[in-house]
Amino acid sequence: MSTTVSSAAEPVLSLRGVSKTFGAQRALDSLDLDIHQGEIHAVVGQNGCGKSTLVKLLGGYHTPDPGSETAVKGELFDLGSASAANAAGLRFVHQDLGLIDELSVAENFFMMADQAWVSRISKADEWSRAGRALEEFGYEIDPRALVGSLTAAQRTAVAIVRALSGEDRPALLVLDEPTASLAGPDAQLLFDALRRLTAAGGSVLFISHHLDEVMGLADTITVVRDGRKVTTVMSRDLSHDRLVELMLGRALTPRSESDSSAMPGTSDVVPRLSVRGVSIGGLRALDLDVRPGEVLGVAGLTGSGREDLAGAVAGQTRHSGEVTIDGKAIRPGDPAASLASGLGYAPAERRRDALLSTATLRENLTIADLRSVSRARRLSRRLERKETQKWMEALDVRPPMQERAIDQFSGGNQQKVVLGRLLRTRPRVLVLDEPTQGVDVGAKATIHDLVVGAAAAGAAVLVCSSDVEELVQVSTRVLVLRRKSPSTELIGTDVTVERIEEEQLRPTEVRPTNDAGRDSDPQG
Amino acid sequence: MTDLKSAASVLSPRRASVLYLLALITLVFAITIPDLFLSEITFQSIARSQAVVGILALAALLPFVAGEFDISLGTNLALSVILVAWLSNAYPGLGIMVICLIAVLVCTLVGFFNGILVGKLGINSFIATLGTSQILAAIALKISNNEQVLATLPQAFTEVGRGRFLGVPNSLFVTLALGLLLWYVLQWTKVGRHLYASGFNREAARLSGVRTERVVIGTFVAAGAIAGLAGVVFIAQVGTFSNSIGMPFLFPAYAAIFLGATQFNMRPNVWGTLLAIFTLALGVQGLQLSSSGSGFWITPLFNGAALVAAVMFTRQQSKRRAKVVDEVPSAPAVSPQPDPSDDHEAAGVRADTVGR
Repeated sequence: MSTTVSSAAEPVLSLRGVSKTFGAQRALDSLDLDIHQGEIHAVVGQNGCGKSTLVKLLGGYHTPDPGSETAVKGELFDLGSASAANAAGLRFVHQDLGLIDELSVAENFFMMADQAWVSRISKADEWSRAGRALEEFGYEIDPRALVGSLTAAQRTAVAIVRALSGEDRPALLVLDEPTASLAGPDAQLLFDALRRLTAAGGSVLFISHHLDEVMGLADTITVVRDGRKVTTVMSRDLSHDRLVELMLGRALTPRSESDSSAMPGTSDVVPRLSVRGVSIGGLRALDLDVRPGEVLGVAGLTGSGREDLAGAVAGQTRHSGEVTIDGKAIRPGDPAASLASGLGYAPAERRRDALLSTATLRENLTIADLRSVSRARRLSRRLERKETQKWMEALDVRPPMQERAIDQFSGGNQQKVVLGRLLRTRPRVLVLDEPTQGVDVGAKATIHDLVVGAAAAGAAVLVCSSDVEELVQVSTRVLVLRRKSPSTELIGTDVTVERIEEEQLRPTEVRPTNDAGRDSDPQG
Repeated sequence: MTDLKSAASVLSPRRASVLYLLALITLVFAITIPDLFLSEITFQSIARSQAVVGILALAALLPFVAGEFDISLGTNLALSVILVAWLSNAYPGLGIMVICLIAVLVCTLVGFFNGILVGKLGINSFIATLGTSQILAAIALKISNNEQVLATLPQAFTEVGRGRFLGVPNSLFVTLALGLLLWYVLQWTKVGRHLYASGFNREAARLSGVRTERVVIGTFVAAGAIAGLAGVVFIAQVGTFSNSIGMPFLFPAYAAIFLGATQFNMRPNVWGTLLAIFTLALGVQGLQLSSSGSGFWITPLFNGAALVAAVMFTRQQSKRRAKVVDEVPSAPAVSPQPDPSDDHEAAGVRADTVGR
């Protein structure tokens, strides 16, 4: 019996000296972490601090560097195997939830359950078991409903309850950004469920960068910065500002209240790009204006709506709302029309959405405007080569080989070509999403010069980026998104790395809430 | 200098392997069975029979370049044949030109239907056209009553269909003229570039202003029209419909496209496709003449083996290319360029050689 007593005092999960190196980069640096029974433990940090690496190590997607030690309830176990993690009692709910929309709630519940291959499935039994499990956590969701017909909050609930509803009681529930897609009251419902879980002796590891939630929910907070643990503190001993300081690793700059969350003062220059009431998955009724010669940077943490903004404005995706260029509305969901109206768009997913793979650099560069390299409606190889040569020099493409397949160039050169493709069309509006993701330092500088140059030549430029330094370098104004809406606009001397990072992490209560509008997901 | 280099490289074994295969086949059979193989009859019959396969392959090439399959082309050809045969018997007053026009028009409409299924409704092209092909087969069977249908054709029409000019069957001129037209469109026009772009990466093409939906529908419409033309050429040669025609043309057509895509500019192209068709046919013919019994089983065997070999070859090439890409680090602070000397020769002249 003495063993059971000691194991209760033992941490549920204990990590010692866990490191993970990718190439030359150390994502996690000898991290120590203890999570006790009945505790909600939050791990916070900026984008790229190592939070997701930690989750992936626990889940078995990555193998840690040698020399680390992990124990669950005092028993050692090896990180790096998904089945070992599962056997040790770790359960995961990732941001994408891992649900299948076309199946019912009950089917989603039991699709992962261990069953004999040919065992007969009783639907009534599945329905009642799934329904009971959901009820236990205070959710009233019909187990027969298709997951695709549920609201975002209900889907999250299904994923969490499913993770907890195994044969044996899980030791630890790991939630990776569970509220990225939830609005206020829905998140509250989730938190109630989690508190009920810990009251019953469960433990939760909670990864988030919504600090107001973290402060309200977690008992213990571990701050991670640049792959190292900064500290572990009780959340009641901590103020919001102090937490931000710990995450950023420096003191907060005094906030000048005058301009924060004030919308832009109307300038005498007429906006070239106007966005009104654009709503789509991650965005709620977005308004913004960009004037000619201006670079508007858009900042925001993952889940803030930043990822969806560029595609919606550029018309890659359909949305409700209006986008106008010089007063002329462009049709959403019709990139050819947008391009014809003078809007050039470089998507974030270069390989998936921008590169004509296996085609040559020349073909990739000229595709958006072939008329200027044609003579009498016939493509002129001579003109096309000359044009490509000119642009390779302007873009500083290395090696300058226009007949080489685009796939054989480095990411930076590929991105330069994508940018060149747009600049060739002489765009009046340029929309760039993560313009330097996966790009080396040299190419990054070239790309920034091109962006600033395009604005100087009179284009209105919109840059969405998770790279705060980049935004500071190129932007005349920066819009910070939080919770699917613009929350703050920074102008002039306020456009600094420090200010943007702080604004991204500001608690949402400051902003007047307009949660009356439902989540964009359709309700079943 | 560079032109000379590119001209030489286009004929290099790596980029024109089928040309060497053709030479090898000719050489082997010229030695083993010189009397049978090196006869005019051999070459006449190949040219005649492959002209229709060639036209059908060119039809299939257009959707293929844009990244889609059209499995219905074989039965669409059969539909064209039965329409001409039936109309020539039932409505001889229409005149053969009108009858042919109707046949081609109907086939074009079938192509448009396929285009809507794939381009507009987003159905997987393989599945959509597989379904269409069976519907077309049913229509052909219904009209023909599952019997051979002898067409009543004007003598002048069959004379053109079976005739020769300068020793070459007239039907082959149709194939070559069509090849020339498609080559021009694919290689020298904006439309052609948009087709290839849609095939390389549909979404990237769309975001670059290519109206990909229209492009896809257009390729199916053109493919349907060309399949109709192939049917007209076929009945001008043969004069009858039988329920076994159509589908058997499809396989050699696609085998030739795949094999042809490993040639010259290393992507689906007109001349690679046509070269592959005649090379495969020559190989089949040689083997059939060599075998003592009736070598009826040789055609599918040779075509199938050639297709597998071609696809393996392509796979090997893309693997080699992928290896080069892997060596390019994606996001390190210092990004050393891959040593270009390795594939400079091949990649550097890639599309220079196209369309010379």
